[in-house]
Amino acid sequence: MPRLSDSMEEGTIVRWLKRDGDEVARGEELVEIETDKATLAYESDTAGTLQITAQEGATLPVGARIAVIGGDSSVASAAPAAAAPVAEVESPAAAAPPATPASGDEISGRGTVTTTEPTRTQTLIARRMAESRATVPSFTLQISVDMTTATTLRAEAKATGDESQAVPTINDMVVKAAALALREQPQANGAWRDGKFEHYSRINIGVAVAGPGTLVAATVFDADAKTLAEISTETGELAERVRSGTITPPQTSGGTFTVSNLGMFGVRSFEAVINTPQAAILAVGAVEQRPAVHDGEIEPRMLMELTLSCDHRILYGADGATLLARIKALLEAPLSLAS
Amino acid sequence: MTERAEECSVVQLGRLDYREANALQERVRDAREAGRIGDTLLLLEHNPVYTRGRRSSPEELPQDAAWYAERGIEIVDVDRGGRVTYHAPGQLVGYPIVKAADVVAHVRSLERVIIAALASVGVEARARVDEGSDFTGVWVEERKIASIGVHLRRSITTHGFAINLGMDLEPWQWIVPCGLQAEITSVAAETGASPDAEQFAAQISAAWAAELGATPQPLSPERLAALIAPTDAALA
Repeated sequence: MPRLSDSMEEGTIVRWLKRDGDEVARGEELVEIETDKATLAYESDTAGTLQITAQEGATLPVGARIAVIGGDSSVASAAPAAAAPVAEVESPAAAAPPATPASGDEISGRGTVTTTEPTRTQTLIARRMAESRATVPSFTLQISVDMTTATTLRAEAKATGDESQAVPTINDMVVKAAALALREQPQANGAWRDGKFEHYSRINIGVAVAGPGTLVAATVFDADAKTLAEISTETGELAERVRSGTITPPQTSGGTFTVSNLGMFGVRSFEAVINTPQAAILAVGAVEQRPAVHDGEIEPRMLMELTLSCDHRILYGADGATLLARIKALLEAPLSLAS
Repeated sequence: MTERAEECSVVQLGRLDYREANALQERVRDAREAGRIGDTLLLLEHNPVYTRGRRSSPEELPQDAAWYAERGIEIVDVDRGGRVTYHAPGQLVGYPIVKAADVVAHVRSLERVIIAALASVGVEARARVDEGSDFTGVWVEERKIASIGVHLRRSITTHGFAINLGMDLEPWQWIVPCGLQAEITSVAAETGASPDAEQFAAQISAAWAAELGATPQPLSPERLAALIAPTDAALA
């Protein structure tokens, strides 16, 4: 976000004048930005392929990234367009920062102190996490979900299903259930921003994916309208892109709610940090066989813990609880997710 | 830059249809960028119109277009930031087409000009800079008397301000102006007397002169048309 005025602290993207993927020349007008009822047509200070990372309507502080102009247009015009280095996005210069050993052993008592520069993404994560914890009045809600039926269905699908089609994971089911539940709980599909409530018409679920040295929320757009199979295919592809470092900014923006899953590590339950300015984040634990009371009997059941962290400025206790209970009900009757 | 570009002028255009005025200001903008004219303030009134900026949302105009059309009000989508606003006779509209380095400083300067001009007709008004960007404009206590919305491209400003003099305020109640549920007022509502738009334009010119530290020269619409004519030819 360029500083348009000495007094400017944040700006809103009014309109992109160029499209994502366009080749832009130095001095060409890229985007209209608004601050204090003043809009400004901002000109590119470099040439290359435009990759838009901030959508129209987004309000961001000065210095936040709104786009990346990557590649060299002279190279791109001589070579196929695909040769433009997409990896520019993740700041390759900082991707493998040199570790600088400091000679402070005697002083610190902590051995050789190695200082490394974070990548731009890591800096962003640090800033956003600190900002979330410092500014969001959050509370958490926990619920146990009986995943016995869901696990059985998955096992049957694996045994009988078409081998070419991946069986949806537990996390895909959680994504779908959350998306359907969000339809009924619009407060949770919004944000508290600048003293106002924002509600979003689309339900875009960010799925937290760990990559090498990074953490990305890959977005499943309109997850409520997608089938489990579609969600499954899409999250699989997105996760692969995160791991291989080929994920692009449009695939990690636009989320309205986030799901974070550490169940694969055997973690029973945890509290996730809200991905601001979203209203809530759902932390998913492992599905474990544990004794539970079922139909009056103690039985081994497949249980999973869900923890919902809510921004109390927009999502209150009862609304958060209703959302969580609805997610549980959908997961316990998994055929409801098959639509 | 030519010598002429150092001059500043005020053009009184009378009543103009919104689209016509908008097209004119674009031509003046191009002429200003080319250095054929200096900083120019266009002063005019619009026929009743709601204009919607790029960030307007549907709930700001709660009725459908036909409902507003029945009441003689047109709806125009505008290539500017900000939300919906209302223009009508009895409101002085100013388009300062000027070279500005800092767009927000330009907005603040317009607030000062309007406050000074309003003081000359006995209205004590204020800016509310500290309360955030939604409070850009000029206020009498908590009531909004003037709106501001500007656009800067290649260091030249377009759009500007609208000051409610003696306009009928009722159509303001049929919209959610600037996305805010703020009370709208006018000079007439505050003082009981409605100043003539042309006379008030002289107060704005004087206040603008004081802000610039220069004396703007009156320029006739015909002379303006002649000065910006080459652009017209180039466009045709």
